[in-house]
Amino acid sequence: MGNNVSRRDFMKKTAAAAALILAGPAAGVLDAQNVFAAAKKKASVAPIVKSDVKEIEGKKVIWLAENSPEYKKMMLPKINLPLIAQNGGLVPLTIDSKHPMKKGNYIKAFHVYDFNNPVSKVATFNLTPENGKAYISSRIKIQQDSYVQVVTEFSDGKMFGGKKYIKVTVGGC
Amino acid sequence: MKIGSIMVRVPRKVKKGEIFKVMSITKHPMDTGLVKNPKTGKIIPMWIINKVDIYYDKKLVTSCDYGIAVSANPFLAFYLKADKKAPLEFVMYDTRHNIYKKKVMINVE
Repeated sequence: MGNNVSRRDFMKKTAAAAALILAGPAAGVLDAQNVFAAAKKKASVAPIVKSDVKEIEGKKVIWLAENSPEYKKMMLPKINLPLIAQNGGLVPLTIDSKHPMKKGNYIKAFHVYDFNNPVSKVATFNLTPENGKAYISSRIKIQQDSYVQVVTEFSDGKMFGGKKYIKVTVGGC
Repeated sequence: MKIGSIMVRVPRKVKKGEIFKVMSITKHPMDTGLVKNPKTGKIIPMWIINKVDIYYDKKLVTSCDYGIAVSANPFLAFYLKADKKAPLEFVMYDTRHNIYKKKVMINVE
């Protein structure tokens, strides 16, 4: 009599057992929790600051649209940064401009800022007509994904800004 | 290498009026004052180079103000216009009041 199990009953019972074996040990559930925690941790990185430098030492900084003809006319520098920096403690930064360096009309300084760093001011590079070419290359530290902003100061005192986005895998500041 | 030693690379010979590249690297830890020592748990105090002056023929040509976000062993490259045979001098100041100097000769033909 005990052996008299219908096929339908057998299938039902085995399916239920299989489901229990799969979901029961809770290993899968724990894994899912870990994934959630990791995602939360990643989201806790400070949001990217999108505001620009407004003034330096009381002088106003002008931001032009990158596609505008004025932007090309000013010969503002090209900011060279890697797309993704694997080590945030050592990011090569090159600022290169074709602007002439003659007496009375030259680039006086480059001010570098990053608002996601603990200290937003990175460095200032002062140039003179003796340089012959407005070019600076250096290495900087960057904390996280952010905009690196370069303000160009001309000899007539006007300041123009430019910025570039960079992704950082391991912060270095 | 000692801390504060500066390595400078310039071309061996340049023509008059030529624009040439100067590259330099300085040995310095550039501690930000935000990092803890993993062994002792104490904060490593801030120690950075904060000012760099470069003189060509005793005239200030280029100068830099550094913050904490300049990488360790700071690298600096820039261009110069060759006028006459004269020394190029690097002077660096750091937050512990040390002064590091380096002089190189520029041979103009």
